[in-house]
Amino acid sequence: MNKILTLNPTANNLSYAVFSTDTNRITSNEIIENFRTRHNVGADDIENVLGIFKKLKNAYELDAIAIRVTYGGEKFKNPVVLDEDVKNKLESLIPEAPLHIPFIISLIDELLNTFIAPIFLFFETSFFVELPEKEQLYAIDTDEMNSSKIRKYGYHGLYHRHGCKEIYQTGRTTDETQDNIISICLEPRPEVAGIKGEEPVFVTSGTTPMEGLIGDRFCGDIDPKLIIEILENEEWGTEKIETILTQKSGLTAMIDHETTLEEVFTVEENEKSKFAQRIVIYEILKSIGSCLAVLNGLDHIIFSGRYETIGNYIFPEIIDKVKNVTSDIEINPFYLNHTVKEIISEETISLLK
Amino acid sequence: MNIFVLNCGSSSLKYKLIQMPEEKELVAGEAKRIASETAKSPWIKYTNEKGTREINAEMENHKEAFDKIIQLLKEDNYEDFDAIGHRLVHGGEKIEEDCRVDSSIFNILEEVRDLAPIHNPPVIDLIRLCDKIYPHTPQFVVTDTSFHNTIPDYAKTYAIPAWIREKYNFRKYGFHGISHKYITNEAVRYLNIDKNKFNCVSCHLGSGGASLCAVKNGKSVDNTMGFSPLKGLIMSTRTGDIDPAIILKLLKKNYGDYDQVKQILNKESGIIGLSGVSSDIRDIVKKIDTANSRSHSYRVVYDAYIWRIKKYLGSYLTLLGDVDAVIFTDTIGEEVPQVREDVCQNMDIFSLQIDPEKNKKQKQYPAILSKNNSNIDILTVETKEELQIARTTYNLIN
Repeated sequence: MNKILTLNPTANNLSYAVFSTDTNRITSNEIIENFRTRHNVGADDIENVLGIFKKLKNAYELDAIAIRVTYGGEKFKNPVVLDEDVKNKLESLIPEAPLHIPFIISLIDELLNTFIAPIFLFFETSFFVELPEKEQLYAIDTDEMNSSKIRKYGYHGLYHRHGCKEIYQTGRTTDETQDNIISICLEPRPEVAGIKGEEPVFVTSGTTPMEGLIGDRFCGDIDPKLIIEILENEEWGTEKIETILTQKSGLTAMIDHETTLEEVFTVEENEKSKFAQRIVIYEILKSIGSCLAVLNGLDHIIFSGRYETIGNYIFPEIIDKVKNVTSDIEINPFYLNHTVKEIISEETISLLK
Repeated sequence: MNIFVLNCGSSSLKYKLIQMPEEKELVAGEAKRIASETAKSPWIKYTNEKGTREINAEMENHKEAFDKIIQLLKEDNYEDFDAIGHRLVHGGEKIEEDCRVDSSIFNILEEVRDLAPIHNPPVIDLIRLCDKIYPHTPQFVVTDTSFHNTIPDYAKTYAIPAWIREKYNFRKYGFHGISHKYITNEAVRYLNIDKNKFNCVSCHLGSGGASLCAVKNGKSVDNTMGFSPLKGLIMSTRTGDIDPAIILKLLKKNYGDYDQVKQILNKESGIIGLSGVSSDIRDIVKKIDTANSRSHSYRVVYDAYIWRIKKYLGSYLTLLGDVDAVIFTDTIGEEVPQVREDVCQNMDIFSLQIDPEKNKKQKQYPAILSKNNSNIDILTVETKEELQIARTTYNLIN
């Protein structure tokens, strides 16, 4: 039975899973902690990774390898099969994502050294490439940035797109081009998207995932003046501020210790967690309101992401507010319980066909 | 008692001499387009019992505008006033309540100077100038933040480490409170609704700054601005909402020069940053109407401006639930029917229906602009921040 190897590289870890091509059932699922590539470590770490890849090669006959890539800029509107042209395009994206893209290129090089199976790349940003200009625009002179690439993206496009696909495939709709969908992806960096048919028209994330909803450790929306104020008063560089805003903020800052969205709703039971829940729900309700305004309708609400079951806590508050706006609405939430690796495996199988 | 009210906007200086408690306006006017890059030249509007004059005058800053206004008052023998009331945009944690200016407050004013870098400095400089010119006339500061003290904690807390929040008093303050308060009271009176049960979204769309306020039971529960007036809607020269990562990128590009970044975010962004030709959305509207090669880019600027307002309006309508009114005010909200129409268009899900004819033909304030079948009244109300400041000043004196 042939297999697909799926890879989900994050800042420090590489999680991988092997799926059977005929059933899309998972065979093996592991995480390589503190994963490094040749790009950023010494030889010992590389030997370790190559060792794992070799074990996988010996254990499975792979039909394909699928990689989740966080950023693809405007160059990748769809999933692609790796070839020279794709690699050149990736390299041209380095100035836009100077940490992420070299890491992906380096990972690809390691894979090419071991496997001969075709490599498929799935970009989180592809879904948002055609976001309306009025939504993607920041009110800043792009000349100030020496770049015309300062625009909004979303960073959970794979979940949003798959959620829509499931809605349409399961016959929950009659008009795939006009249905109004609010897709709530509950991940460590959560994201809400407003979707008309299959096209996104609103998203909470920004040019990076730092903007938007409060994350496990991400600050979410803040007044830009805060950064200036800190710099004026502290002997800190921008790197330290970035570390605070992306690793020591969000729910972790609200609870005063390392936590997750799931724990805040299901494990923590104190005043701080109740307050954090209130903030999370309030921020999501605000984005729901924005979606209602730009969609001018609502047909489906999707919850996805690793914390999708937290939607059970949030949905009653959402529907309560929505019914206040428009009382004649009946919506049952759709919970997409697929992992991102399942999503890219399924899409790879479909592309192979 | 005559109270001289001064209201510094980012590019304007509104003034009124009001006889209290009769609330009789003796003199009123505004110095407009001070030091702003717009298609029109700066000018001063001056109205007294004899009529209105418009005087073209070069004004590089608010002090020059003030000098010219005082000259006009002198010509009418109106220089003898009993008190001066100033609008202070950002009182921060230091000036939470409206208060009289005394020797102890000057140091505090310096501490809050940079909290609103466009607005606070000219006001504070003007207070110092008035202290020298009129040492025996009491002065008062009426803050734009006090109306928003009722915003709940969950809506005003930033998700950053507590020690940083506490050290710098980082939280949402909200702004344009004087206007939102006045507008709310006027709408309550006009619609004859119990203020304690009145829910509305107040849209203060100025030619410089702009904000929306969610009002529940007559009290502010959210505002689009934040710790500073930089956050929220796209404004004439301010960015409004922006990814924090862009700020960090700008700082890196400018080698950590935060003064330069402040300048970019506060004075070179917003409508001027996007259009490159004007900071005034009215100029952009005119340019869309004129077919030329850049028409598309002007359309994009206008669409982005409207889109941001719509998104926040949707948020507040959803959060408030049972909304009585959406109210438009200040220069753009009062004078540009197209903006009101485009903001309210395609909002049927909220049962919000603007009447295009009423909207276009509206001449009086207040006015209802919604269709008869709209569940939510759409109003335009002329904001009178100066009257609100005079009322507060009069109450503080007494």
